[in-house]
Amino acid sequence: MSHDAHSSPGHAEAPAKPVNLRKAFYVFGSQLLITAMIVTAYYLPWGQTTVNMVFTIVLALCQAALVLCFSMHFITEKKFIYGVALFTAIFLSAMLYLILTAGSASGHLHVNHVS
Amino acid sequence: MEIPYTVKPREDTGLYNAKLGIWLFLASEVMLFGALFSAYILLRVGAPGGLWPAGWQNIPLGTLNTFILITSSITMVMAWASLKSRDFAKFKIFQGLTLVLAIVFLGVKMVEYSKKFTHYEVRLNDELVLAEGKPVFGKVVSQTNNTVLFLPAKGLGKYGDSVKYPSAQVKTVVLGGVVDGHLHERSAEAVVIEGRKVAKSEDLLNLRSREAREATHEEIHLVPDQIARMHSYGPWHNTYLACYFAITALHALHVLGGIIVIFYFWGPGSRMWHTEPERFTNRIEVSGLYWHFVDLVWIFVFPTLYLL
Repeated sequence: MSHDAHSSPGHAEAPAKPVNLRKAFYVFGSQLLITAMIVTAYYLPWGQTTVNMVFTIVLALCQAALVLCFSMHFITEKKFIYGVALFTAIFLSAMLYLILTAGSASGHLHVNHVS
Repeated sequence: MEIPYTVKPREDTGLYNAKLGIWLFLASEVMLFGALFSAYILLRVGAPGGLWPAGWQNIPLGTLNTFILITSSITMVMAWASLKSRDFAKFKIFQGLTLVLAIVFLGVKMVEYSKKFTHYEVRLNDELVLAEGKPVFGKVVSQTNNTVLFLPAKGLGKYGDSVKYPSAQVKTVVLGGVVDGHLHERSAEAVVIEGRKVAKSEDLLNLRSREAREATHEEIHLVPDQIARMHSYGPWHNTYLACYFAITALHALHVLGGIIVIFYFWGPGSRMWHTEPERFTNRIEVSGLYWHFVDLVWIFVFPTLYLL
């Protein structure tokens, strides 16, 4: 512990609770590895772009799940936070559904093509 | 009156105020970025085949920024863990490192942006050669058996009043084409581009193609009268770049917001540690949650806009 820590008046009521950082380093390493894999996949001659797209999206989702679950401690959060997350997911899905169906109802998507 | 639940969690939710607040804020952020991403995907999927840019971004710089953001994420965790271990000096180091990495991220982003604004696509005029033999640059608007309606160029994409010529007096030599590259010089007399010339702008869309990779770049000198239209690769260039700048600039604004918060807790705001260490630790945890979210968004921005 540092000198600053000992000199703080609030420390008598708040004991040190060391955090095990092993999991955080595993997540860090995994993230670096996944990024390397995504970039390598970009340069590989897949032949089919769809294969590359699916591979990249799946890896990105894995990477996002790692950050959400471990870095943001989502898997050990309180029930209330799960409720907030569920509401967000439902709201976002409903919004996307409306956008997608509105596009198909008018016949086709109006895309501003590249000039 | 003292505000309740700033340190101690509420019995019913099990959360202290700031933590509940940040999760609600992040939920709204998910909707904001979710709307932008879905708009981008709809435009991307709806674009006709071959008419969406590919390979326009600098992959090494994007990868570097991804590594920087991931590393800043772990330094943020270590800053919070240092406070949990009551090691304020270590906290200062890791929080400072996070701050430096965040600033470097923005620096790299600025380099990427600046290159877009010095990279130009120049559409050239057709050349019209009059019967007298004097060449005039410009654009043929319409042509019938007897007359040619012609817009003479005044330089750098500006046109004068239209002129009608008898068809017999006019000989049209189609030069046209598109010059693409970095601008070296731009004056009233000359425009110098370091790049390449292609037949039409569609040829510039796929920079992953073999033709694009094998293309040689050279110094191209243009007379302003030759230029029909000249525009940089800013958000006005096309739909893809409009999406790219909207999403990455919004993300960069979040990074900037993060920098302000991280700096505050590293500097003046860290005084709270000496009076309310538990509350200060909670604040760092909450700012860490925000910072991880910024990392999370970039995890989708990078492959979506740079690689796919």
